[in-house]
Amino acid sequence: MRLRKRIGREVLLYIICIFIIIIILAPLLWVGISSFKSITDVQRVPIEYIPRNPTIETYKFIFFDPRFGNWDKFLLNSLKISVITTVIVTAVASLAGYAFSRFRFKGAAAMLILFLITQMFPGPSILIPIYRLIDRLGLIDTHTGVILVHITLTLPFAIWLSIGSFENIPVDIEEAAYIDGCSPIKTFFKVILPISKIGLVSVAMYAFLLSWAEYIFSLVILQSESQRTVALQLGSMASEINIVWNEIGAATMVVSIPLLVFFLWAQKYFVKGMVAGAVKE
Amino acid sequence: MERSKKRLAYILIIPAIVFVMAFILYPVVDLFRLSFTDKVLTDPESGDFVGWESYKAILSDDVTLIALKNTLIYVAAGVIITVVIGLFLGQLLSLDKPITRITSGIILIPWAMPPVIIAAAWKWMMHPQLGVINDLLQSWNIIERPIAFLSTPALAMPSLIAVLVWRLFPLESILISAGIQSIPQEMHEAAVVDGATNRQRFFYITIPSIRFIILTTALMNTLWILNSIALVLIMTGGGPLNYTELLTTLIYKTGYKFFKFGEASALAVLNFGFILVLSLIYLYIFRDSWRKVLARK
Repeated sequence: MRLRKRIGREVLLYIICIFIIIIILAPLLWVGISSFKSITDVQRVPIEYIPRNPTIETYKFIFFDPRFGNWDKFLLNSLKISVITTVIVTAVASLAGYAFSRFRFKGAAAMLILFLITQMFPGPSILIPIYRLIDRLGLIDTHTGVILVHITLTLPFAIWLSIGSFENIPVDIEEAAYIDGCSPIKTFFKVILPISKIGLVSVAMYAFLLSWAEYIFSLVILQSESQRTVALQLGSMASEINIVWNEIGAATMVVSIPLLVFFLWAQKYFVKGMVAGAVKE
Repeated sequence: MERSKKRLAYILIIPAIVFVMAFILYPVVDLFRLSFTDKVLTDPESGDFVGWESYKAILSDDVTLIALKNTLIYVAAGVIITVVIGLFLGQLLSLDKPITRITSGIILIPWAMPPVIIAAAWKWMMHPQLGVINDLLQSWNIIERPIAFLSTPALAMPSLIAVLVWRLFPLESILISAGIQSIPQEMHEAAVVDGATNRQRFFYITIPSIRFIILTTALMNTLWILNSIALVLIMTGGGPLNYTELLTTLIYKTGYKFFKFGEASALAVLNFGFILVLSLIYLYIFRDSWRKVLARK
């Protein structure tokens, strides 16, 4: 009797977990399957769950046919913006994070609280003043403008992440370097940065994911079509009245699959940090 | 050595401070200033000081009140449903079984996906004719006629909340399951010896042990929702009529569809106010962890 109850529970657990997995993967599966249909098959009712005439023509169109968007261009734009944002944010945040985690100096407390508070409102509330600032700098419709905004959006939280990663490194290591005659700057670059690599991976990943996905600021700053990022192009296409679904399907796959592969590989670093932050009281 | 270290500290921090001052603090000040002007995007001559006019205009507009009400519903429903699902799934995922390990491994995918892609995919799936949801519901004979989820007034907001919860529940479940795993097993054993039922153990051991996680994730989720716009803007654009209009979508529309920067700024100040209050609560709850970092300075 007890055994049967236990088996029943086990089966229930499997059913719930499989249900969750289906719910999680449904949008990707749906978009993935549809991206291999032709424009006529995508609009056919009833829906074909296994495409009868699978084709990669949509993928060819979005890269090589000028009537569709220039997705090679959009991808390059996104890559450029996200990589530059990531490099600058990781550099600036790791410098500041190191200073906060190691040195005593006047004003440190006020500055830390400043970063803590500013990480809370990087959204539509400051859309208009940020737009005006970028306008005044003459950076409307430029990638530089978007990069500056993305750095700003990610920096405060990135600093906190990097403080966390330096806190895990024992101070003894630096003391030893100082005794050997290393200057503080040399110690930072030659000794500390190499050991804190994994912590900085999570900072970089956070900045990259956020910059790659950012929509609303790019929407108001970038105006000509050739400047668009993939997130902006996808968002604009999905907001139109007549939506070209198979183009959205193929583009979504191109944009999200590399991202998800990278994420599933790197999530152990990232999740560990977040879980540690949330669980410890 | 001490002096050179101190100098180094300032040099290391200056770039971060400059960015935050120039691109967050200055815009916030500018936001408050703008909200007291009649600035119009398309008219460079505009921008005179008009006192509280923008605030009077937005507060006497029914759409603002609708947006406030909708924001409240969207946030409250999103956060509460997420916590409930998170508690349930967190318990399951805290069991160490092959299937729960697989589930935990992929469950965070929605969290890593750009909101733009989430919005596009779900908008497609909810499409009355071409969407998978209507097709399945019809072939299972649950409904007779296709439902226009996103353009039916009564269904638009619940549909948006469903997608929002889909984005939020994975991280909630993972964090809650980590919290449950960190509860010492002896506590449960002792309770079993004392004759506690499963339900009693859930309410008197599990919930109190993870109340900190529930509280902080609820706050973080609220802040995330108040700072996000892409999901709603792309899926419904605030429609049908104003049934899914939120403060954030209204800020965007007032500013960039009607070009009224003054009124849009007043709306943004409202949204900003909510965020600031919640952030201060957040700072207060987390006071121990940031004080610890500060204590050594």
